[in-house]
Amino acid sequence: MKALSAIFKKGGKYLTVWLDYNTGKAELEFRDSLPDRKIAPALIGETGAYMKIPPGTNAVPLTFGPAAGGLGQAGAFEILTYGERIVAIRPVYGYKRRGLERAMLNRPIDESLAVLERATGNFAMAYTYAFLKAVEANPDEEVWEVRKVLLELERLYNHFNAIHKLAGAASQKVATMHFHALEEDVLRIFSRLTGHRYGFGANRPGEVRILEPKAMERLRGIKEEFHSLREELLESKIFIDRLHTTCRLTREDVMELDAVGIAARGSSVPRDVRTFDRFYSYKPVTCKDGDALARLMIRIGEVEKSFEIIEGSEVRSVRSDPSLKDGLNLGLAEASHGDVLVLAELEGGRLRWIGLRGASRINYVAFAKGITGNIFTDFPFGLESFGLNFADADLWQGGED
Amino acid sequence: MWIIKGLRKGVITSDYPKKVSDDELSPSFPLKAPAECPFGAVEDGKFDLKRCISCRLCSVPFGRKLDVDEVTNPLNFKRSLHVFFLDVGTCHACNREVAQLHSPYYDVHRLGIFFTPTPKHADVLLVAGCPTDGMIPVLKEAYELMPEPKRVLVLGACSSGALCERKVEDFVPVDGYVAGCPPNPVQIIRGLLKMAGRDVE
Ligand code: SF4
Ligand code: SF4
Repeated sequence: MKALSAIFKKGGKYLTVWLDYNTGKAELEFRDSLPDRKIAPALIGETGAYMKIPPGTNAVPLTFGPAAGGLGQAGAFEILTYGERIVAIRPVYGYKRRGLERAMLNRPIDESLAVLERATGNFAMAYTYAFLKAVEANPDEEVWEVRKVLLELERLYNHFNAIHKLAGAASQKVATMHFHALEEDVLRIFSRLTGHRYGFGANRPGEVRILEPKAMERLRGIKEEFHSLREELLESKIFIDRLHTTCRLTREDVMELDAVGIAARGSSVPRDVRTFDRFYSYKPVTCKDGDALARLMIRIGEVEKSFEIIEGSEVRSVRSDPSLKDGLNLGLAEASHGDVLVLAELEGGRLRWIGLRGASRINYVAFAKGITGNIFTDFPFGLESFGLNFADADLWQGGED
Repeated sequence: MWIIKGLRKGVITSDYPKKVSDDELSPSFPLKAPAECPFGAVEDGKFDLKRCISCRLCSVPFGRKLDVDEVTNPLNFKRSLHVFFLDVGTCHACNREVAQLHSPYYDVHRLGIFFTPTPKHADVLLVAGCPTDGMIPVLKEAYELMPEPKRVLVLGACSSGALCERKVEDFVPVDGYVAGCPPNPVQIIRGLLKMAGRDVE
């Protein structure tokens, strides 16, 4: 079944992107009204419709964020509780609308890419991967092989970050510190490899820039450490109990909300754009329980797969044909939280219009669905199991509506 | 078992401010002033490091640099420093770098630096990001809520107006900045120590 993947405004109409996750086939459709899919309002940044206050309730929803509440980022949730129970909840988008999409336009393409990297910094490898997928005229196998490694390295540090935060929420003080240190270990590899802790500057048209390939040797130690930490973490009954049955999404929820990435795979819906990416040969990791524990187990399985992918590739600088395609083109990449979508329109090698859709924009709504009915103390476990952020959720489009 | 794991790993915490290692600094900072910058870091021929996004598109050498801050109005503290972090529109990378200050690699508690969950208990407002419409009132309110003496330290190029039209100093008085996109954790620590009026290196 096709999923509704993105909605932009272009030429006075809605431009919808539908994606078949089995084949990778994308369909673009211009229309006058929003399609009748539950996720449609969120895709244009409107989430008011998801706040379903039960009839007869006089309680007033509480806003959690954007500064208070410990989210640690400019974003918010509107929450209605009855006693400890979450009765209704929605993510509030817009606090991170920075207008970087506009700042990408009408410049030399290297500059557009530099801005794109700073749209969601911790998914920069994914966004540049998707962008270059969309616009490169003659993609070179060897360049993409290295980009793939960078994307998997980005997945590693983000998965470690998510596990660190989950362990922290469960007051697993030692485990949370070990995983935070593992995240830093990968950032240090990035810094040596690319000259930047988040890899900014590495992916350029027809090219991937690597400064110190030897830095990859450190990955072996990280892998060994991860194995030993994994065993220890999964033996902690207190930790596992907090995640088990927390923030459950059913397969039907995923289909209804067009959820992506780990949120989908945790409920046995194998949506992973690496499946049909020509530079990958990949079978998604899935789990059927749909709870925070299922999403943790997927991360653990994917860390292993990332190590395998990385080990099979050589990391070095490669240059090829930097030619770009004019016209409107689509690119996708599977980031650590879900797929990111880039729709780019180039004219004479310059960007005239851009549409960006991060997995966070969709999956915050899936999180809200999953956490409804849970008690408030489960909120951080549910939230951290998705690994989303509001910088990603608030990205949208630049150029004429 | 966790204890054994910890012992096996040994001490990994930074020696900063005594010394800094290459691993703690990324080699992405311009070592000379460029003549031109497409992102507005050069104006009237003058290079403004705090607006540099480290894109490395200009033709100057790049490398590691610890001293990327300027603190114009430090506190004179002999006690611990309490910090409230506020994201007013980041790309999330600055948030991750600030979060790393609590990891075993940087552990700012050893330096008497503590993050507070409310500006009401903070000496320093640490702000990152391009101030967005939704966050400008929150920024002003956080500043108002802080007790005297209070200071504002801004982090990262976009808080100083790179990439977006506004900057933090348009809305609250700024007492110092740490450049970078994002600044490295040790650079942030350096800025905080200087803001506390303490010795660095
Ligand atoms: S922003 Fe980029 S081009 Fe401008 S000075 Fe910094 S590194 Fe050079
Ligand atoms: S300064 Fe750079 S890294 Fe920090 S939030 Fe802004 S764009 Fe992101």
